Amino acid sequence: MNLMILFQDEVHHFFKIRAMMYLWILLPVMTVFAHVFNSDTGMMSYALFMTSMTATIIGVVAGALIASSIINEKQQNVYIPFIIRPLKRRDLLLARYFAVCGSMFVTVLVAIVIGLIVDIISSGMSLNADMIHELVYGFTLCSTIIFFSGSIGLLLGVVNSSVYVALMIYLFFGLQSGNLMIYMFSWIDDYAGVSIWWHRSLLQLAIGLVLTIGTLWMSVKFFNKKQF
Amino acid sequence: MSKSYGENLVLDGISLNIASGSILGYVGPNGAGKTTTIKIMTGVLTDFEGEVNIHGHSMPREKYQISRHLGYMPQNVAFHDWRTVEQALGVFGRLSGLAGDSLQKRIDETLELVMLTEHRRKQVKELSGGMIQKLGLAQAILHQSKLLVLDEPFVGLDPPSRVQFKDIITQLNQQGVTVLFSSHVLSDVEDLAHSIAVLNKGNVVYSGTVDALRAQVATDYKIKFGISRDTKKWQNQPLPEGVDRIEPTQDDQLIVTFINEYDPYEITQRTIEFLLMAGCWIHSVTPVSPSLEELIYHYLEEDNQT
Repeated sequence: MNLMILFQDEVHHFFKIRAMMYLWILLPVMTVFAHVFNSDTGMMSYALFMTSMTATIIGVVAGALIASSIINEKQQNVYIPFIIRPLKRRDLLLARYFAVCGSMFVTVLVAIVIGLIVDIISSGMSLNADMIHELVYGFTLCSTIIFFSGSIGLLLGVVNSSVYVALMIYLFFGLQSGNLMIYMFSWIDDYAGVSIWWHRSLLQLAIGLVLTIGTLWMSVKFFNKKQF
Repeated sequence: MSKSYGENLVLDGISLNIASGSILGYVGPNGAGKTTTIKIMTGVLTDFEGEVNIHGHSMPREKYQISRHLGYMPQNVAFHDWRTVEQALGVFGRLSGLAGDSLQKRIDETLELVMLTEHRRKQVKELSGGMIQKLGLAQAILHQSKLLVLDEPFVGLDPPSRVQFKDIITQLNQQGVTVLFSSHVLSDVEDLAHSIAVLNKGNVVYSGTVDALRAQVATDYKIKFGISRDTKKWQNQPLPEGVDRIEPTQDDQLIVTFINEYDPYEITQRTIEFLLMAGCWIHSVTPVSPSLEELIYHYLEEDNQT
């Protein structure tokens, strides 16, 4: 219940912050412009191309935003009036995490839909099974990248007390989390021998989920031990 | 309770009782462990040895039951700067179990009480330090807590706000709220507290009323003489027996300090005669009680010596 109150409160804020405003406008514009200036995406559909491109950027933004905001709030002692209320400490972290990653995820979904519309208009075809498979793949890819990158940002935010140090570490290691996911997914495609498309997507989602939940669990453990 | 930070023992097995419905002033030098005690009591610090029992519930084990009735205003209270005053109280109220009309009613009442009604739509980043303190008090009393814990509540307040804060605390206490507050401004403690607890080097060295402390501490006995004509001739004469010193103040008064072993009534009489003989006109004679500051200073001095 309290997680929901905090989540609504965070969403109310994050949907309105300037960085989100830029993303809301910038990503759809970028999607259309990229198609106008470079419509050749090889074998990849345009929607999938946009998904891979934007999910990595958005994942980085989500992680950096979460890490820096948590460190700032720890330094300002903003959490104390919350901690004394009847709520679990982890709710504070999870509300921030889901609000930021959720907002980012919606932004990427908008980009995917625009990419899909561009695909349909430019190819002159109607929505077919291949397109749907690619969309599901894109959905899996972007959700795992965003939520995993966000969880890395959360962990760094909880364990660090300096925004600069956290961002340096994040840019050095955390940034690779998106790439790690992409490599892992291509490995699944190439070597794991999973041929049915939705089995492949489920496997990807499961791996992403396990890694994300593991990182979130560590963040919560550290945060619960933190003495304000 | 005991609490250490690494090798540094901050609280050395202190024991503290707060009577329900009373106001306890928690005082002590900087770094004595006041904030640490308060943080343990309110469940902010969970890593300590000992036991905290509030209205029959143990902290932090039964934090949920306690926190519904606990209001806490931390030292240097801070809020997300993007929230408006009303939004901040709204979220704290919902988290404390208030909702709908009752939440809105409590927000209105609380803002009225702390005189922030006209600033309700301002963002926290637009508020002055004093206003943030008021918001800090507002979030602590919003859910009608039965125990109010305030850590240095008067810091950063202008004199009218200070008086207003004291009035609010007194008013809440009259409604049955138990209050614990820490302050290094001892005049505030003297104004508000029914009893005090003095913390020194991680131990509660005194717990009781200010009057009982006054009776325990041997301070100098002083009398203030209001003088309407001062010939200054007394300065060249030997002091009467039992008088340690006479110090003139800038507002035409003489502070006479007696030697403790003598009878103060007898010395007062002797001093009046002495000043009259020196040609002074006396218009008032007032005993000077030692301030709480002096009492605690002497008490700590004695404690440190033992």
